[in-house]
Amino acid sequence: MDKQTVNNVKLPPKPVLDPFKIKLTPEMMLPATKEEREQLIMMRESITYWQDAMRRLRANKVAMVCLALIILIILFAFVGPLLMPYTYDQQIRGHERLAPVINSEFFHPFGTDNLGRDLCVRVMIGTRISLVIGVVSTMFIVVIGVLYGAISGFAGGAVDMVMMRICEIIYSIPTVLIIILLNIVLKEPMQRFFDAGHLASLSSVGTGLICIFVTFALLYWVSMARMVRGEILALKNSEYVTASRALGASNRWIIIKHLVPNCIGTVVVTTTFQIPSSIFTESFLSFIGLGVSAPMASLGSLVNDALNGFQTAPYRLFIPAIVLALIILAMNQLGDGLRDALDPKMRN
Amino acid sequence: MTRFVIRRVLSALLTLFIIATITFFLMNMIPGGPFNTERASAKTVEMMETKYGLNKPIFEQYLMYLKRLIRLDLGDSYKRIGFSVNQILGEKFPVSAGVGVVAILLSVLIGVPVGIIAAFKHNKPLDRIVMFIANLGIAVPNFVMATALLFFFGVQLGWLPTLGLKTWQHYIMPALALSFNPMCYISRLMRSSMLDVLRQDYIKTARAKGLQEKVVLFKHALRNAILPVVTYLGPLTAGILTGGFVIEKIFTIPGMGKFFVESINNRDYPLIMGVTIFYSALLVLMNLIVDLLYGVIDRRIKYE
Repeated sequence: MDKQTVNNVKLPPKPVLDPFKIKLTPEMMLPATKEEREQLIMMRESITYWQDAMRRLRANKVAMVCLALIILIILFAFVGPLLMPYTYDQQIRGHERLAPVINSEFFHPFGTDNLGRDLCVRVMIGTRISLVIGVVSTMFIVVIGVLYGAISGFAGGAVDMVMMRICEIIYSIPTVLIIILLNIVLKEPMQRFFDAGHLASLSSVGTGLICIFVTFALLYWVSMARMVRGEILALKNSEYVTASRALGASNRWIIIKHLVPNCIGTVVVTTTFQIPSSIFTESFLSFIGLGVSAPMASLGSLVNDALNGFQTAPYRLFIPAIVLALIILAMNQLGDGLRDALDPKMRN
Repeated sequence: MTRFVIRRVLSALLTLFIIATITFFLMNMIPGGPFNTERASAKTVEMMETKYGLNKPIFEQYLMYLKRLIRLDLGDSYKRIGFSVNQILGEKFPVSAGVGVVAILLSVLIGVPVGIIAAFKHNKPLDRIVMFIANLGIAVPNFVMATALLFFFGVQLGWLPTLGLKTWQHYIMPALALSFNPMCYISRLMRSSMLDVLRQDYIKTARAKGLQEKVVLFKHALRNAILPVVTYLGPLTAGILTGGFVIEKIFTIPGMGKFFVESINNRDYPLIMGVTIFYSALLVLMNLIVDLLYGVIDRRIKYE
């Protein structure tokens, strides 16, 4: 880029000096004026890649609305239950099977279920569980995927080939089926493991949830690893890495200074898409009766519970379903926005 | 070409073998035998275990299991006494396959044209509306879609029969619920790949030499733009198969999906294993077909 137009600010053209006829005049030796100094400062104030990306993201209305929506949902899930007078597993006598009602006697904005539990709190807790599942399992996936992909891409050669073969095999395995199997198999041993008093702090999370984390982490890292590997392969052969190497940089330096920062964009985008997909899969598992165990709730299990009487009480089914769809929609759209912001070439 | 096919078939078989092994050892990790109920006496348990070879060393059991698999014998159901997994699959799977095939056809036959139209009306109101619906559709899980359809068209309006699978009208809602999500995904995929192709130089060349727009579209653009959709056929089949688990539960369709969910709740291990392997084989086969189809559509792809 031409230095004269940094930050899109047009600078006045500098006087051209003919090197063979330089005549130094006393005026040229004067201290810089205030105006000239400001111009110099302007030139230094460059915009980093991330600032640039954030500026593009802020300009994207859809993405911003989705971000606001996600923040609202997070507040709903984490602050909401504190404001409600009930807990998610509290069975209130005489409040069974209420339609949404708000008056001096009853306060149940989403109604109650057959056991007299307030649905509003249950939806809040269910949203919380679904969000936690999405985020935590994605964290595992990011760690495994990034490490695996980076090692594979950076090592190259035979190591890369073997590692990618393994990826290919896991990729062609029907994931949902294996997740179902693993969930069935892991549940009992894990329950006994926790009952024996190991890792007591973890056991409060619930075995169903931990099974989901483990199975997702085991099977879903492959696409992340592939993305990171592809990125690393492209970056590894780029000019600035070659230049850095020619200047005597160590592998460590190249990884930390060049490869990692340039991969972050891809990782962020893939992560944003992975979270809704994890939430989606969890709701599916809960719906067929494999996810979190009662009285705990997730959005999928709430929909499943509501299925039996949904002809008489459809709101019980549609409220958690709408929250679920909103989360997935907002995360997907935010992911699209992030991808456009971080990689403008990808935009259509 | 022949070498490529052989290599792909071998790798498909390897994948299947790995899946079979994983399933076997996973199922054997579960504590307690399938006959350890309170009612059964020790002698009965012993008899049953001898019958199914459960008291042999695990490796021997594994070999027996592989041998049976090669003969395409998936074993007997523990809970439905007297029925083999093959019999159950033979009885229930055609029902699921019927709905599944309709759903796959729907999602491709609607998704692809919608995507093409959206690409042609790029950034015009029609494109915006279609993409809005598609983005919404991707976010709605199929079981939500199914219950919503059931509630509005089945219960409230009473236009369509709700439960079972007797007439062709019964197929509409389950197939629509199964296909809506992939349909939206395909239309998005088709739109972006069409936009990408329409910007290519060979499209400009085709137009510059005065070809009709129809020819440019169908002969030059579509053939290349449809490749991502072909790739998606593998995951699509997987999605439709597993989607069947919940759709059949909601619409009480007596298919494999509903049975599979029941067998999960009953812990009928041979059936779970059998269905997993059968479905995996279907998917691996589908992926193989997709890979071979790819080369037929796009001649630029060279088989190594």
